[in-house]
Formats: sequence, structure tokens, C-alpha cells
Amino acid sequence: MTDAIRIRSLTYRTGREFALRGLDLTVPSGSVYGFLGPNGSGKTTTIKSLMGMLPPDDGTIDLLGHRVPDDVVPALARVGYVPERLHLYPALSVDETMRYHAAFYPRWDAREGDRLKRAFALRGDALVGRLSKGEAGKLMLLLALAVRPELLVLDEPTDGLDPVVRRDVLSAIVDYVAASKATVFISSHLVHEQERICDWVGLLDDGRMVAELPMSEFRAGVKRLRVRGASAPAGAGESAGAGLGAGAGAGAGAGAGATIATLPFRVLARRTLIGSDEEWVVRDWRPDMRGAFAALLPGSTLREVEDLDLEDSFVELLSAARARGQITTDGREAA
Amino acid sequence: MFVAMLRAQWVWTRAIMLFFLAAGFALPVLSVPMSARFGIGWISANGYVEVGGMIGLLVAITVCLAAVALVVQNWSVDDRGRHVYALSLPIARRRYLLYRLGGGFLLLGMLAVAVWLGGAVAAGLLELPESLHAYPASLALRALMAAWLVHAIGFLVRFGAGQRARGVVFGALILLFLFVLLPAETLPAPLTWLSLASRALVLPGGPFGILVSPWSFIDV
Repeated sequence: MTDAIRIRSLTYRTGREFALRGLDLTVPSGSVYGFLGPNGSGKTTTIKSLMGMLPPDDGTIDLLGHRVPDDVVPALARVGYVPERLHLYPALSVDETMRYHAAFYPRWDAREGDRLKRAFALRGDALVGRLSKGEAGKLMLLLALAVRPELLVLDEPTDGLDPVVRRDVLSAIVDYVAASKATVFISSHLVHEQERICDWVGLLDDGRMVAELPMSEFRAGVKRLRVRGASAPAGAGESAGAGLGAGAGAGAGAGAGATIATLPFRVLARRTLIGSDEEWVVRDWRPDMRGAFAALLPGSTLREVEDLDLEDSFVELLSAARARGQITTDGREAA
Repeated sequence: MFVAMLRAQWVWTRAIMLFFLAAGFALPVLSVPMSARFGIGWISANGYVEVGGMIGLLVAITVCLAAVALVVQNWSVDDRGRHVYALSLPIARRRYLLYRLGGGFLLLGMLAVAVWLGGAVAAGLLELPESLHAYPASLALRALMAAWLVHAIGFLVRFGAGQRARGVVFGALILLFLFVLLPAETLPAPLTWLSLASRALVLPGGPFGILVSPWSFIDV
């Protein structure tokens, strides 16, 4: 399988500040990739770089096999793009905007455009500048979908929309992907929304990738554990493991002498509760580890395993990365 | 693509363009009532020439304003969206800019046609002394050249993006015309060449010559 988007070591500065710091990102073809990150983390800058609008200071970007920005034009003809804010010409009507847009895209599907216009209840003679936020969002999506793109790049497409419009927009995206097997790169901070439609997820913070992994792994593998008897200095990440055992190399299921670093799951965050109870947030958890927990960490008892939804997982991953001050590109903790 | 861009440009500039088209047509026609008080004797020839010169000057100002307004309007539609739409379209930037510039030239061409039509109507209605003639085609051609020149400069300055770059270019243009107006001999020696160079630019045949050469609609 080829990658629809491949970014390596992308660095972009705005003045003296880093907006992106050595960003690595891979979007497999045919996937629906959720690009998550808090406000100001660099999502829109990444997308603008991807679309050839911001030339990178360093690193490489490949979009549908074309190097960006040098060879971006043929790639853009195969991309449907919905930016963060309304970017269309306010003096043009909906129909005029569709005709204008169609002139640039050889794959423009006029019938699909008309179908979506009816489905979105957009009036052809309405001026773009007078559309409501919801109507403008629908028009931008219409334009992106009617070019029959191989890749949809959506920058916060549902931000600020009411639930009904949001549902219409998401349905249109899902329908298109189901019919065309297109790749979708969707940026948002609305984590629950991403959970419903994405099969890959990338977490961005402060211009760096915190984690990039399949959604199934993300959803199933991040848990909150309640552990008793694992006496150790509280902390997060590798510092949390420091007190659990001296030395290394006991390996998974090694029993005595095991450290957090050698456990088959990774501890992202650790908090002391009442008494000797602790709460751990872990990654790469598997159901079979529950029975083997006592053997993994002798003297400790696993009292509870709680599923985290994507939003909690997102917050925990970000918190852990910030606490460590180290951010990884593939979800692995930095050495 | 070009047709779509031209159509879009027309949509967002049509209010301005219609005003200037009307002005471009009406100004030469104005020469008819303005010269109604003159007879057709040779003594009144100066009056006709003065009216023709005034009309020419007004046409020159009108087409230059139209060219500037077109540049401003054309760029402001993209400024509002921070150029995101234009940059996301699958077209090479150079080609996009050329189409935009070309679209502006065509719209200004319409203005020149309006000037020519107005001039032709006026020429048909004017009863001029034998020694004088109306020059609608020449006026329209001058209008076209001047409008294109101003539009191209405005486009270049606007494309030059940064406010500092714009300031430098505008400053340079102001200095240029200032040195045209100042007699070379009154300037200190190091600045004399600047005055001479400035004058060379606006002499007939120079790049800005069209703007300062006589624009008379009625002449011998």
C-alpha cells in the first residue's frame, strides 16, 4: 500500500518561533486519518504546508506521490480541500462558485455537485457572502467532494456547526469514502467526532507528533488501571518506573526485578490515590495482561481496569508527553 | 480557466467597472455641450482645443483611477480569504497571476472601447472649425495604454506583497515625478542625474511617456 501523505522531518518557522518541529506523518492510502491536537498545536500550519501554501524550512512532503511544493499542482487536482475558515469569494453566488471551481478541476462531477447542492438544501442564487456558517461549511464540502478527490483534506470541517449540520457534513464524508475508497485527512479537536469515523489517528502538540497509530490500537490499548502495592515515587513515564525495581532486562512477565521499562505495556501517567493505591494510565494494554499482572509486578495487585474513551486517551497522551518534555513520532516513547 | 476567472473578475468588479464605463463614454460626449457656445470660426479654435484638452485630462484621470480600482478590488477579494482559495487551486501561481492580469487588461479594454464609442459619438455631433479634428481612436488608444500601464504597475506593487515593498515602490514613484518637476540645474550635482533620468522615463517613448504626453481629444 502506498502512502497518500508522507511527511518527514517537516520544520516550519513563523519568525523566530517554531510552528512545526521535525514533524513526521504518514497517511496510508484508503485510510481515514484523524489529525488531533489542541488549538495552536500546528494542525492548520501542517495542512497549509501539505497544500503547498507554506514552503517548509526543512524536511520533505509527498502528496499523492508528488513532492510539495515543487510539484504540487498535479496533486492538488486530485485533492478536495476544506479549509478552516470560509475562503470563497463572497460576491459570487453558489452556482457561480461551483462553475468557477469546476473550471480548475478536470475531474469535476457536475451531477454530483447538483446532487449535493440539493442534499444540502443550498440555493444556487444565494451569495456566498450571505450564507450562514452551516451553509458555507456545506458549500465548501460540496466543492471538495464534487471534484471526485482521491484525497480529502479537511481542516476542522465541523467546527462551530450545529449538530444537525455536523451530522450532514459527516454523513456526506462517510458516504463518499464508502463509495470511492478515498483517503481522508481530517483535522479536528473534536475528539469524539474523530472516534466515529477515523481508522488512524495522529496526535500533534506544540508542532510535534505525540503519537501516530491505528485507531483500534488507540481505542483498545489505552486504559486506566487501579493498582495496589506498587510502591514507588509518583510520576509519569519513565520516571514512574524508576522506583519499581532496580536494574533492567527482566523482560515481560519477568516477575521480581521487573521495572516499568520492561513491562509489556507502557505507563503514561501515574497518580497516588488513598493508601497504597495508585492510578496508572497505560498504553498497549491487552486483556490477557490482567491475569498475569501479579506475575509481572510481584507484590502488586491490579484492582480495576477502566476503558478510556478517545478524548481521555488524547488528554492522557498529551499530558504524558508534556510531562516528559519529549515527544515521539511513532507513539514510542523517546529514549 | 481563463474565461471562468474573467467572469468571476467581472462579477466582483462590475459595479466599479460600470461606473467607469459610463464615465469613459460620457466624458468625450460632454465635449458637445461644453463647446456649444463656440462658433465654427477660426477664432474659436482655441476654445475647442481647450475643451478637448480638458476632456483628455479627465479621461486620463478616469482610466488611471479605473486601473487602480480594478487592482485593489481584484486583490482584496483574495485578501479577505488570506489567499487560501487561490493557493489551493490546481493551477501554477505564475499562470494564475497572468490570467488575473490578463483579465484586468481585458476589462480595461472595455473601458477603452467605451471611450472610443463616446469619442465617436461626440465627433459625429461636434461641428468643428475646418482646421480642427476630433481624435476618438487616438484618445481611446492612449486610454488603453495608460490604463494597462497603471494596472500593470499596481499589480506588480500589489504582488510585491510586503507593506515595506509597497512603500518603497510608491516612494520611488513619488521621487521620480518630483525630480521630473524640479529643474535639473537647480539641483545639487549628485542629484542632477536623477532628475535627468526621471525625465527620460516620462519623455515620449519612455515607459511612462503615455501618462504625461498631451491627451487632447480635439486638436489640429
